[in-house]
Amino acid sequence: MSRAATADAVYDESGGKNYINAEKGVVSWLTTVDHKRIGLMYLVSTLTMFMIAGIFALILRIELMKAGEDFLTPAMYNQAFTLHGAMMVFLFIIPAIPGGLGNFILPIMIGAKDVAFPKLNLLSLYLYWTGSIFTASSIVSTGLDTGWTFYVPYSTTVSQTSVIAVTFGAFILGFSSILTGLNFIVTIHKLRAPGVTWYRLPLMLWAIYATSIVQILATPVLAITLLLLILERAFQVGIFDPKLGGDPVLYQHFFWFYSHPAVYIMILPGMGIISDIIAVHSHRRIFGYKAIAFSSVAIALVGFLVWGHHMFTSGQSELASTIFSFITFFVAVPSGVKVFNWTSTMWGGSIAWSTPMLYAMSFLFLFTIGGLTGLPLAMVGLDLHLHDTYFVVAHFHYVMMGGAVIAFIGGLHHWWPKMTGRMYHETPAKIACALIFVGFNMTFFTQFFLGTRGMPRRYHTYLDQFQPLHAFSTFGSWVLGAGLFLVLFTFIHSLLKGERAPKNPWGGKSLEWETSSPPPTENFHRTPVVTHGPYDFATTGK
Amino acid sequence: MSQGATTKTPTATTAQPAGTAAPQEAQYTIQPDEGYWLPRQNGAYSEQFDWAWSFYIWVCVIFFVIVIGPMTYFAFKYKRKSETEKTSPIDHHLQLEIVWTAIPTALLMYMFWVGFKLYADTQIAPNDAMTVQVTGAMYNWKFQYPDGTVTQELELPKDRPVKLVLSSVDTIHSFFVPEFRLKADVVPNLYTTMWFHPTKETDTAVQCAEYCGNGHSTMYSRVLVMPSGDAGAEGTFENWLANGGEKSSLSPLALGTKKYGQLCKSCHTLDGSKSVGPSFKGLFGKTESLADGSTVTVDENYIKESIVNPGAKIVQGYQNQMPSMAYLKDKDIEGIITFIKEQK
Repeated sequence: MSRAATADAVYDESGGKNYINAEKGVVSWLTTVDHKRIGLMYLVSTLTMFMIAGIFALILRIELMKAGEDFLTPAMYNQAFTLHGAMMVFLFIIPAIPGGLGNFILPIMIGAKDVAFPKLNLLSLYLYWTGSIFTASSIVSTGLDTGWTFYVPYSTTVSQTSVIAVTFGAFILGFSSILTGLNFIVTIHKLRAPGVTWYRLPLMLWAIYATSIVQILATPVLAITLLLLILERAFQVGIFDPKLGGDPVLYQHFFWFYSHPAVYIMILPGMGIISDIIAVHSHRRIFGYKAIAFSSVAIALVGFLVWGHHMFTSGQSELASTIFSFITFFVAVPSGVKVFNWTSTMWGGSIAWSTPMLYAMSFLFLFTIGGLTGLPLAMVGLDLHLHDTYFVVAHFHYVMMGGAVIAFIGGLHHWWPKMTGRMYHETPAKIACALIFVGFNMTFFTQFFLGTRGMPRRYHTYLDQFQPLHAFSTFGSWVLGAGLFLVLFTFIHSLLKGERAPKNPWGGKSLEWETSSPPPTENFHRTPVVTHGPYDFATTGK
Repeated sequence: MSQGATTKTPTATTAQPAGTAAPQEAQYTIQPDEGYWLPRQNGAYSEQFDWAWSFYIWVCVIFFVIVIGPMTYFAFKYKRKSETEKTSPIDHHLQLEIVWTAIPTALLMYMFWVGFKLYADTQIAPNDAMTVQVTGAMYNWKFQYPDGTVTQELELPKDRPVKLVLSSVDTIHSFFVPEFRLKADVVPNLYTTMWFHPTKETDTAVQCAEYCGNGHSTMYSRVLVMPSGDAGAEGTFENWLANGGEKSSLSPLALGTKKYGQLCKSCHTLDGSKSVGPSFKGLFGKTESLADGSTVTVDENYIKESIVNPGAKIVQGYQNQMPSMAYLKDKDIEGIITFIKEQK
């Protein structure tokens, strides 16, 4: 039977009704409590933010192509890098995977009709929109030039920009994140279909679960910190500013107490996606299921104890720096374990060279570099040189973009047929993946050299000796940008002209592949009963 | 003090560098090395650092190959040939998993030790180190030597340990000298320290590494390491310090020109136009009306008073914005007076 014929058969079985065409009109979307529709709205919103923040990045790279002032003044440059960072972190990477893909796929993967608190879920989305409006409003008002970190006393005394609007936006976004985390934890505990034991959860869900723990425990600290910052800036309540009797290093402790765990909010769901993609596209039982599952939880917990490694040069005590350095190396262990397990999963598999799998292999390549380049930053002595240079910029882009964003794009391709009911054209999708891989490495590998040679970050202009590397990095950003726009084009083309997707295009074994593409509003016509694991592929026996 | 930073490329607008044997360029540079990664090393700490770095790079390369090598091999070897292919049932292997957890853990502990050892050596300055007080401000650096000399660039004797005590007057900055492989944040209301032991004569850059606003990327200064020796011998650090941070051969006018560029230029023009403060053009000998209604004739004493105690006699139409520069030596003040006399 051809793929299209299968798809049509499924389509008919559900009476032509699915979650997309179940109700019509904008109001039906704005008032929906369906997790799939909410997930889709998250996806569209976060991807829009990704595009705006990405355009800021391209602008920054063009300014940096040559030393000196080209077309941005230092003030404009500072605003562009601040908004690039703040929007990427708070409006894209943190909400995109849990809010977008997680919302869509989590209840289906456990055989539930919806999340535990569907209305709360909609509230999360509204909070996300409200926070986004506050944050993005700075673009049309006075901008923001504090860096996404809002370090004091710069943000409370020097900056003339809309610090209060943006920090208040981030404060609201925090609630969106907390409520989503809470919702997911309860859903995974209470709404699993019969037979879905903890060890039959797809690894994506272990990752989301670990992420949710971090979201509900760490985000309140950020909320309080930002509130204190607003109090200081608006009413001169002395908390961080030494002139008012405060302590600026205290702010850094508070900030990184959230923002280091936030790194795991960003990367853990990506790791979950990669576990699923590699197993499904290799048609193979995942290697080390429990090791991967518990390493997610370990990363989430140890991740709370390492924030001080952002502050080795800040003036914190030598003892604190030493202890934070020591603990930081323990985060590397579970990350390494995951990488080894993913590679081993490919051994003896049946590896499809599909777009999601190519993204997964890109992820392994880039995330390994991202992880390994974290090590010298954890070695206190080496960090004294590398801290706040382009080495750090390259390192976290390898983790955040090469890791989380590449996994996210891979996951989008992986679940795209399920979400939209359409296939995409493999050829442009693979070309886009290749362009992104090449462009990304051109842009950011170059920056490791810039950093070790002494180029500090957040510089509008630089010493002439750094010029050739900066120019090369800028050329890379164009290749990367072209790749990302090709992804957008592929998806739009798929929505308009794509072939109808079958229920299970990749031969997956987890529950989402047992319902139609796109699924009906209630996900399954009758509650599924699960008798096998999520990666129970046909084996050669023994 | 007005914000001296501009949008220009970081050419040396502040100073004619004082003498070392090397020819001086206008541009700051971080001297490169033959390797791909790090700049030229200077001092014992840099050597240790570079060893730790090479160790790290090899660990990195080995682990990268261990992960990406098999991945690439498997991707080709196990490429899907048919949709119905059966795959390996092996989904765990305890010994293998113990090995790939234990060996990296041991190696990571060793890496921690290497990093810690290096760090410990950077934190405890020897007792005989010369202490220089560093003040960061938006957007310049100021260095005060034990004898009270204040300069805008850091000049140091070769082969002698130096301890910096750093603090900021406004927001957070970070003092970063790539050649020494060191960096320390410069925080208001807190003294941070750093020490090093330069072993090579050099002319290298200090950069601010903590974002501090619009002048962040032009907040440079220079580190000059010069020979140590007798205060009477030209070209030595001691001679330079004895001359108040100047080459002894500088004429009063040259000295004044230099000080103007460093200290006065951002607020006092030379073309007669009004800026934050009165222009220096035709200033000397002029009679100024003051804010309190009286008048004063600009002579040597008035200029000196205005440098040391700027608020005493404010010219009508201007604000009292200038910081006191009482730290300047008489020689510097005489230089500035000579310079102002020349602006006819």
